[in-house]
Parts: sequence; C-alpha cells; structure tokens
Amino acid sequence: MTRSTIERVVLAWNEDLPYIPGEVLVKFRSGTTTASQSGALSILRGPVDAAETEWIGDVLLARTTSEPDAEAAAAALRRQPEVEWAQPNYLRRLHATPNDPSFSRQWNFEMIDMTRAWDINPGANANVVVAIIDTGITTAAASYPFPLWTGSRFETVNLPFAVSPDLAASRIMPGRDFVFWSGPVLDMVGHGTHVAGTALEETNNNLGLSGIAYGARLLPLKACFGYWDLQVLRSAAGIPGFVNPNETGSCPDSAVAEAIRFAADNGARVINLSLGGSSPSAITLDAMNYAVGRGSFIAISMGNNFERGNVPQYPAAYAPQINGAVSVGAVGRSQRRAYYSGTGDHLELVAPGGDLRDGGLPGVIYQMGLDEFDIDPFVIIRPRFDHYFEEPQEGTSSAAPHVSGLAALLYSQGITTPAAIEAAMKRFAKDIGAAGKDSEYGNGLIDARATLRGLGVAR
Amino acid sequence: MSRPTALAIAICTLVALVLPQPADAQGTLRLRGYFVGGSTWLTATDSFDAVAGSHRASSIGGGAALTIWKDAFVDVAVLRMKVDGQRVFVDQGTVFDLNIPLHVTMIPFDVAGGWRMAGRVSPYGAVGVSRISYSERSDFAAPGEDVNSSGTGLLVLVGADVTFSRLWHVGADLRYRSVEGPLGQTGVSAFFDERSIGGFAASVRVSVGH
Repeated sequence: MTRSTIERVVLAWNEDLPYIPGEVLVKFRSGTTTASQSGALSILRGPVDAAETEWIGDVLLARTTSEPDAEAAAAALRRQPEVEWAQPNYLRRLHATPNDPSFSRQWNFEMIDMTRAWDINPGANANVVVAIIDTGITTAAASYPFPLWTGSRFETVNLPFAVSPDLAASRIMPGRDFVFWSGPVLDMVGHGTHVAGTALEETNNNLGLSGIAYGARLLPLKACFGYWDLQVLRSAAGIPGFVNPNETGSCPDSAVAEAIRFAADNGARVINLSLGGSSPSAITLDAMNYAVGRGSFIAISMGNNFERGNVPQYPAAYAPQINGAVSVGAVGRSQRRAYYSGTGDHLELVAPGGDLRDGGLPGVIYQMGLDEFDIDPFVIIRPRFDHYFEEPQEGTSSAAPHVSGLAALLYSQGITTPAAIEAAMKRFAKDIGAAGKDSEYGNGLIDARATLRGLGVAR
Repeated sequence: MSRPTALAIAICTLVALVLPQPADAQGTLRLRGYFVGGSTWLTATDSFDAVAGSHRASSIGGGAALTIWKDAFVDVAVLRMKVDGQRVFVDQGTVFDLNIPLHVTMIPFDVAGGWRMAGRVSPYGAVGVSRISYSERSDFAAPGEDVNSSGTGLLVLVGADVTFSRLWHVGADLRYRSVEGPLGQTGVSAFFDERSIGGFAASVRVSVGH
C-alpha cells in the first residue's frame, strides 16, 4: 500500500468509517471504451490517481484524494450512462467477540453429531481446498523486522511468527495477502486462525483441539487487517502515533472480492467469509457469483448485531439469491439463538457459535488462536505472534466455519456442486425454533452425520 | 443358499417323491413344484436407478401349483430379490453418490388362483396377492435406522409350461406385483414420489410333477 492509501485506511479505522475515503469501485457497462471510461470518471471533483488505479476482475478500483466522501463519489458515478454500478470500497468487520482464555470444550461438535459424522468421512481429504478469507493464517515460522511506533520514535522490531502447532504445515497452501504485503501470509489478529481451526484444525494428533475437515487443505487468504497490521503499515509509511486499539479488524471490499476470485481460480471448493457490514456490496456479490459459478461453495456469517439494530449484514444478505452460498447464524449450547446472532428472512442455517449468556465460558467456541496477552494493543507495543493457546470466542464468525468444514466433508463424500451442498445441508438440518424455515434459525441447525449419510431408497 | 431357493428345491424334491403317479383324471389333486429364476423390473424406477444405477433386480425362488379341480389351480411361491447400491443425495434431478454401501432385499410371497390349459404346451394365468418383505440396510446405520417392513398388494401371473417328460416341464413365468410398502415417505423414493415395491418379473420356470 502507498502512503496515501495507508493514510486513508488509518483515517477510516480511527474514525470508524464504513468505507475507505477516496476509494470507489466501478463496473462499466460492457463495451464501454477506455475513452468513455475516462469520460465517466472525469465527473469526479478531482482527478483519479492513475498510478493507484487497479482492476479487480472487470471492476475498477479508482482512488482520488480530492473526493474523500466515497458515498458521494459513487453516487455521482452511478448516474453516468457508462457505469453499471459504483460503490465505495466498504470495510467489512469481523464477526467475532474475543473472550478470556479458560476452558477447552468442544460441545459444538457433539451438537452437530461430528463424532459419528467422522465415522462416515474422517475429515475429508487433500483434494478439497478450503479458503479462509480473513485476517490470515500464519504460513511461516520466522521473525520479520517491521517498523513500529513506540510512543516517541520509530523502531525496527523483529516480530516473531509461528504456524499454529495444531495445523499441519503440509496441509497449508501458500495463500495470498491482499492487504498487508507480498510476503507470506501472517495473522496478526488471531481471528483467521480461530476460524480456520473450526473448519480444519488437526484432529487425533494428541494436541490441542479438533477441526471438522482435518484432512482438507487450507488456502489462507488475508483480506482483513487488524490493529497490528495497520500499526506496522502506518509506521512503515512514517506516520507517527497509534491507531485506535478498540477496533478488531476491517476488510476492504476490494480485497474481499479479489480474494474470493483468487480462491475460485485456485481450486477452492469451499470459501469461508466470517465478516460483513451493513452496506450492500456489488463487487462482493459479483465475486461470489463468479466463485459459485466456478464450483466454490461459500459460507457467510450472519453478523453479531442483533442487539444493535439487527441491520442485515452483507454479504450474508446476498446468500439467498445465490444457489451455493449460505448465510449462517449462531446458536449457543442449549440450541437457542445466540444473543448476538442476526436474524431475518435471509438467514438460511445455524451452527454453534457460542453464547456467553448460555453457559458462560464453557458455552463459547474454543479453537487454537494467538495468545491475546502477547498482542493486546492496550498494553503491548512490541507484540509477538508465535504463541498459540486454546482461545475462546463467540460469534457468527465461529458458526460459519462449521458449515465450511461440513461442506468440505460433503464435497469429498461425493456432493460436488455448491448448490447441491447447500440443498443437502438444508434438507438434513434439524428444524429448531418455529416449525419450518424461520427468521431466527433459518432452515435449522446443521446435522453433519445425517447430511453425510444422505438417502437410501426408503429412508 | 438363500432361504427361498432352499425352499424351492425342497418343494420340487417333495413333489417328485410324493406324487410320482399319473394324474390325468379330472378332479384329482395334482401337484407341480417349480423353481424360477429371472429378473424383476421394479416399479420404483427412479429410486432404484439412483441408488443402484438400475431398477432391474435378479430374482430367484420357487413354489408349487396345486390343481384342485379340472384345470383350476392354486399357486404359492416365494422368491428373493437383491439390489446392491449406495446411499445418495439428489438435487434437481442430479444424483450424487455418497459411497456408503446399501443393500435392499425383497422377498415376495405370492398366492394366486387361476386356470391352466391342458396340452404339451400349457399356458396358464392367475391372479392373487403378493406380500413383499422389504429390508434395507446400509453402512453406518444406527439402531433403528435400517428398514424392515412389508406390504401386500395385487399379483397377476401368466406363463406357459412345455412338457418334456412325464414329470419335467420348462416354461416362462411372468408376474406383475402392485404392492405399496415403506417407500415414498422418506428416502430417495419420497423425492421421486415412488411408493411401490412391486414390479414386473420375467423368469424361466422349471417344474416337476403333474
């Protein structure tokens, strides 16, 4: 990222803006010439910075410093006849709430009958690639010298990274970083590692916790950044100070869409999106349609804002219109909707996401994650990312990878199209809540064993 | 050896031993035991095509026909059909194999009454009832998940025997069974809305007796 881009991202982060200022995603109508495209862009108050312009598929990411209000810029562009759609480069938020470390109980797998499901299909196989589009999953054990602001000056600090001890290196593909750098994928938040753990963590290895599709390969795609990513980027650009430590993570639409397309182009059969935001995103919808069309099933978290207005979250709200993408809500230990889990007609399935109010800490989801005492931005200025522990989290972020893991198992069992995977999960979901599909539980709670076992002639 | 096959052989042997005397007089009870083997084309075509790739099942068994008055007879038979396949999921007409072995066994018990025309070539026809025991087993089934059920329905039986010696006859045996059983409620048969466990069976029939 260039300095000006970093400055815009830092501004969005600190001001809690829903988009990156000055960045607009534009899709031109087919057949529009380059000259006509330039003509359409010329209506913006200031010039588009050609050096920072980039194409994501057939969508142009345009950057301009003279019009920071991306909503206004997008609205102006939408009125041009050459433009099919235009939107700000929205920032999606991670759908998880970290909690204090304590227990390591995976009641969630019993709830969806995983033990007996593994009898039928022990963890999928290496032919199935699951892409986790998130804050990254660290793929390298090394220390990297990164500049950091220490409060009074910039200092180059060797930040140590390690691969999660409960993820076999042989199953981790190199992946791609869309937001931080061109080096190995690094997780500086822990969210991506936790999400990946539910779907893919090693199982039967006498270590840590288990994951659903423990034989599948993991494609780590970093499309979200957290406090430390941004702090390093900011320091590298020579911008003193600290970013807001209250923010948990942000995911630009441009990066998410690029990652979805990359996943589909690189053989991912399953894509997990544990993120979302309240603004529609045409670029993400386009990318999801592209991925499903190429055979990728997508699981998307519903969002955790039930008690904060319950505004529909995107891209989850797009799921019902895509045969092969599923929106996933969360239930707690007693199979009741988790207090935070978003509801609505667009909810399709629920899975365990944990609920502190339903059993306390034993009632949340435990997977391997970064040791939060090593990365707490309120107390640390030199973090380390090589310590892992059994991290408790709750959120629809944790529910979605249950569906992703099951999708990987179904694919390896023989259900090989995204639409059929979605249909199978819905067909065998346990109907909880009001009879039939409802806005609190969708089609019900996923049942891994029943879905894998399928149908005989009579039963 | 399966139970129906053993039963058929036992019946044939019994008939051959017990009733060797000529019995061409009208009004005399005449017994003919037989063995049949052939194929059944099951009515639930889509369901069996989905799990087994075919709705044709081999059938084997035997029975006995007792002439009770003039050329009127009562026919009793038991057969066995077996279909091996795998569990599936069906979405919008596409079948996805799940590689979980599945075995269906059907044992029809047929009782029919009809008329046989006399002669070296003797056609016959009968109607009656068929009771089919249906069992479906698959790997990874928990207790109670396998299916053991039965249904009873119409049987139509036609065929012709050709007499080769005083006791031995060979012929063709065609049976149609219309039997509703455990299908159509859940499973892939519900998806295809197929309820019958019956079908059309064509067999070679080897008989011994009069």
